[in-house]
Amino acid sequence: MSFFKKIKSDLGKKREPAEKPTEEKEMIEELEKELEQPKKTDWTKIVLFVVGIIVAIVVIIFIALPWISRSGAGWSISQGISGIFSTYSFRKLIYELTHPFEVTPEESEVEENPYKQQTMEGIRVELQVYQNEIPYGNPFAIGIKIKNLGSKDVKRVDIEFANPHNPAFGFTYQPTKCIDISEMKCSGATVEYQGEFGGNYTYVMHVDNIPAGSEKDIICTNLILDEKCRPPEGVSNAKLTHVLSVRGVTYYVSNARLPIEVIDSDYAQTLMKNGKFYTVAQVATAEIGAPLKINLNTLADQPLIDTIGQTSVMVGYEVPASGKLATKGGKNKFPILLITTEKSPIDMGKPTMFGEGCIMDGKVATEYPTKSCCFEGELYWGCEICDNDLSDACKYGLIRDLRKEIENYSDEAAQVLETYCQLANSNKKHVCFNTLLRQEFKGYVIPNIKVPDINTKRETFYITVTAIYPYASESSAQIYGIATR
Amino acid sequence: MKKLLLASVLLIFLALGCVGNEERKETKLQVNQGLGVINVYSPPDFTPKTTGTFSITVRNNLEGFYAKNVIATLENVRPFKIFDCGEENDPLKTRSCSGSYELDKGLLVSQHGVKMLAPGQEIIFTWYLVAPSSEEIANIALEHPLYYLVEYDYAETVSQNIVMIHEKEYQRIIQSNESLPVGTSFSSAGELRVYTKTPQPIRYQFFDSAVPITLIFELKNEGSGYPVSDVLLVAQLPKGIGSTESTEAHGWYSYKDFNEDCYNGSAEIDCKEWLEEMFKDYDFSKGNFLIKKLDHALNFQDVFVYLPVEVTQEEISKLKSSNTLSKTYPFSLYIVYRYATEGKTYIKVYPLGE
Repeated sequence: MSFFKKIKSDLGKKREPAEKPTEEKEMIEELEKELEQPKKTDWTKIVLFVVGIIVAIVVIIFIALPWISRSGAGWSISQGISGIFSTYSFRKLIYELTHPFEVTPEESEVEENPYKQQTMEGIRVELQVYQNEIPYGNPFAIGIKIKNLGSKDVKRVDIEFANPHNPAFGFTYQPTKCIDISEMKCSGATVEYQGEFGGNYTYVMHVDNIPAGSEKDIICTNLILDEKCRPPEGVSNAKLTHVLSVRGVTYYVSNARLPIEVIDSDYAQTLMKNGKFYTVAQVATAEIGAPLKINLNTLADQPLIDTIGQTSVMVGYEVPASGKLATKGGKNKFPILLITTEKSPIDMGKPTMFGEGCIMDGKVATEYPTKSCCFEGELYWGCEICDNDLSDACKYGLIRDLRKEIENYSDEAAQVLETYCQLANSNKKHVCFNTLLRQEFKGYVIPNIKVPDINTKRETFYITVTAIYPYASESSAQIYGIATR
Repeated sequence: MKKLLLASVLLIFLALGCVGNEERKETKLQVNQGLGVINVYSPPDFTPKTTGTFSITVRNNLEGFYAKNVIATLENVRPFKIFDCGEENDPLKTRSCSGSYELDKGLLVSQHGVKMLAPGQEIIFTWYLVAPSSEEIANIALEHPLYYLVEYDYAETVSQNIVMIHEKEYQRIIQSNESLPVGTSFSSAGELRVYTKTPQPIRYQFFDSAVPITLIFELKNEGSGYPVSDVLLVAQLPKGIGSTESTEAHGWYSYKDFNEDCYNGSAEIDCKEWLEEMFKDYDFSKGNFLIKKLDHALNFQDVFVYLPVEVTQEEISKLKSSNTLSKTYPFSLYIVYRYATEGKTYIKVYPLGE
């Protein structure tokens, strides 16, 4: 036995209990028995005690303290305590304790308005080629997917081949015009025109009704890589690249609005005299949901004082979408049609607005030298129709023809034209139409907006600019011609 | 034992509650506010052609006087419309029915009115706005500024103690390096604040002549709005103080002799009738009252009002005979005006769900 084990053994012996007297032993045994027995919990007493405490607190907080506070005397400590209990933090704490899984209203996020989720996109056309390497003279198939990524329903999309086949060309290699579509058959679209046009073979079809967020597929078969594009003998193993492009075109409407806040001059003077007249820069709101965004700017801070105030509005645009503005084919081709009006509740009368007429590219159009052109159904870039001319134009000229065409593509655009023509006819609102050439469009100015005399203290009217425009999405694919004979 | 302890605690609570002094204070408005818009409610978002409730809660300052002829107006409402008298109305249309508030009849549908608001009283003015159509807002979300204007007749009182000390007492205070006494002042709540700029203490000697003094008041518009009417001032002179030849030159007239009209923001009315209407419990025919009218065209950002008066010869004689070296004279000023205050909020319309 080691030294340490021996010591441990001795210590253990010393701890053995000594013999106890019998009575004492019995008592100890009884006590041990009692201790060993499980304790009986008196839950009734505990519940009553807890309930009593809660009732007492409730009485003190909600009855006694407020009563004391209201008793006309007001005890500062009681006021302090009741003040603490009635504070926002305390109430918030109680709310959180009683609603443990709920988010307090202050912390919850404001529900996103679905209008804000709209994108600045339009249609997107995607060309799908199932077979990249195609022997010359052999038929092949393609797919065209039309997606509506915007938030507006599209009534009709025209699909055309951007590089139409030209059967007349000679042996000269023209990689973009080698795909013969004269025997092509497409499913999923309605053929509008198929044949020669301007020396090219054209195939135009259209797809109807593509709701926002949806897509449609077109399958085209019997496309042939024209034998005439086959490379001459001697280079028979070469793989020549040919490009196929399709384009989808439809009409869109975009709006933007700039508030013009007007203040009565007498009222403004009163506010100025008392140091209470403040002005702020106004911000325009552009419609979200269409591929073109109109930008409006004005330099003058608002409110403008009636009878003496004057401002100009600058109009610009951008296309944040993946596509681009298009030139629609046909007689009434135009890249963009801007319509401006004041959508004020005030009947301002014609002389007060657009005193100098419309302006394009910073030049004031005091006369309308191109007016006649607008009435012959032909539209040239920069042709303007203002004031009373518009009502005639709606009846006989450009607008009538345009509306007839646009009706097929966009109910909204047709409705806009209809509404604006009605406004022009009623002479209640001042409306100005302006067609703009995309390439030349640098900025459009609505000048000399004279503020009308208002018969109330404040009035806000809105300058709305609406653009109707054809929008195109284009997609291309490369095809490798196999010259194997 | 426990019951005894609980009972004694409750007794202490109740006893302490009964002996203290509670100081009631206006909790929602500042002293430079008569009526205040303490809450604005508008629907979070409108959708086209829907109707929503817009309301403002107006409170009269507990420390102020009765506000009378309270008119609340919504400005810049169009292109919204107002549903009233069972139909959609242009906001500038005159109400065709009796309306929901005392003074509604004959007002525009964009206006509501009540005859009076007691101190501490609150009232909610409600309009039912009809949002414009999608076409009217060109299919673009509209954030439209809406102004609410509250106009009301209001009264204020200012009490000012002016301390006068004899020259001998003045010299003693200076030599003993004590601080000179200055009279206290108190004013009720209201947008037009009156500050006494009279140099104090005013010194006098026991000569056998009256002592001329000029009370100077600075009138400042410290509210968020502006007075739309003439401002009527009535000064109550204490015993021993009288007017001089210069008093009238500064536009102060004896109350009894005053007989002018006041512009109340929309029409000319009898000044004294207006004053008596606003201070119903006061009798201006008894006592020494002076009255002055400030034209509404004045710039109330900072107006100085001078009131030349004198300590009468009899008063000086009394002071002399009793060898009074210091005396405080309580002056009171009563003010009546019509005030307008404006607030702004935005209401939104989203072109959804029409």
